Amino acid sequence: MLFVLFPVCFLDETTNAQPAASVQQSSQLQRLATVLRCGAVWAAVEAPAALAVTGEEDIDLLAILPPIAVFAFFYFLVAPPLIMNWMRLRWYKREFVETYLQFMFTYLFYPAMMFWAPFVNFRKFPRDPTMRYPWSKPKEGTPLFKDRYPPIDSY
Amino acid sequence: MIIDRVEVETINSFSKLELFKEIYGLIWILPIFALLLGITIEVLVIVWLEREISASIQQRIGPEYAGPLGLLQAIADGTKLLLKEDILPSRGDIPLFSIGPSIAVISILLSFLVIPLGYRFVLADLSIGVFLWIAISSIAPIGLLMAGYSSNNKYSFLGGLRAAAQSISYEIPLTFCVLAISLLSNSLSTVDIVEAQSKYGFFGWNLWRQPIGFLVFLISSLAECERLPFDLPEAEEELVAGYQTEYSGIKYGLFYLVSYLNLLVSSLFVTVLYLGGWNFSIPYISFFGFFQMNKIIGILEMVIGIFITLTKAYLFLFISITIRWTLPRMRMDQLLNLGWKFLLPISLGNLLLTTSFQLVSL
Repeated sequence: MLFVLFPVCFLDETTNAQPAASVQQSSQLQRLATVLRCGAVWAAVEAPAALAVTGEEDIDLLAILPPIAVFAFFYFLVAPPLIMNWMRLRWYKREFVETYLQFMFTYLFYPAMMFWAPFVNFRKFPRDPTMRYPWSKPKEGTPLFKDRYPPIDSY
Repeated sequence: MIIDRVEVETINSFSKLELFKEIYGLIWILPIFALLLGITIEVLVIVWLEREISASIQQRIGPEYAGPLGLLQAIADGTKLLLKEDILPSRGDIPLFSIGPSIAVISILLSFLVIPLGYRFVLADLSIGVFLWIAISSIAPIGLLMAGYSSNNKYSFLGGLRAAAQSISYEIPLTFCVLAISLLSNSLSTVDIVEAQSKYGFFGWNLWRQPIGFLVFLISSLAECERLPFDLPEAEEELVAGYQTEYSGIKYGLFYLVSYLNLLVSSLFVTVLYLGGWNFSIPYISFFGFFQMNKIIGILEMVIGIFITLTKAYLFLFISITIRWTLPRMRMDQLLNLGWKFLLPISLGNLLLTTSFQLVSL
């Protein structure tokens, strides 16, 4: 495989006939183009290079990526909505153990919840039913927020 | 993320192409950046935990406007501190005033070198890991003393002196507890200490083998972090804010960062030294080996190890945050009394007991 790789690099090197005036800039651009081309060839040709020196098996990305992708899907897309909904429903009604667990799950999944936080809103909008559009002006005296606790009918 | 192996493999992979030499020379930065990013996010969530847990204890509403239930409050705080004006006292020692926070932050960040999140998931598995942590945690009070001295403020100076005295007093029992753990584990390496606790599962933790050391370590860690009831260097009612009084903007933010970084380091070290580290500690049957899923189990073990370590560290964080909003502050003489006259003899006795049992077991 390596013998196929080297002629490509040599071809890029030999076509380096440039005028002396802009040799520096064109040399850097040429090097960048060569690096990108070699990178493309390298991505296409998988060479077990590390085996020659260390004797260890090379990192097998095709076996590592699926479990990482599954875990990332769960961590970033499944868990944060569940945790946030749990917090929304039980934030002002919980007991001690639930407090500990809510904070623990927020602590563990905080990077994912930070990504979700700008797009989630737990606070209600004005409740004027006569509003025609969400940006319409609400009627005077409309309460801004929904009560956090349901009204108690009997004592 | 043991650097040597990954670096060797990467160098061997890329060294066939001369043009990539400049690229693979920078591979070693990636694990360090990943660790720094993780630490920063950890500090953000600890800030949120502190404010929300205190609100919960005091039955009031915590931050709830920056993101749902204030999840983005820590980022907002950080941005605010970055945008504030940096004020320098006109008659203070300006070079020392600027160097103090830097020394404190750098010394705490170096402690994260030796904290393992998995068997091979440590930035530098030094054979003297816990010793390095203890040595480095002695450097941070130098920065605090610099800050107090250079502020040209008697209250800041008192705060700096208190910080130094407190750190020196509680460093010694902490060291003796760590020394006892090292005696049990036959190593100063953090990875070896965790491995020594994995033999008997849940009951193999050093928590059960060193209960006295565990309690002394908890108290000394709180004092080391300057958490209430040991926050005399700050002492809002007495010294305004101690060595932090004259600071504003990002320099104050650095002290804020040091406080929570120190708390995080202590939490992770309590986990590593006493609570079994990344070990699962619950008996289970590994069925992955039956289906030749070695790579999958490797990834899952690493991920589960991270979660287990953070879950155990969260216990210490929760305890320290609830203690802060439960107990009153001590006086300085009471603080030094507790350190020198109680914790030091107890930790020495614990060490003597440990060495005696080691001799008997031989």
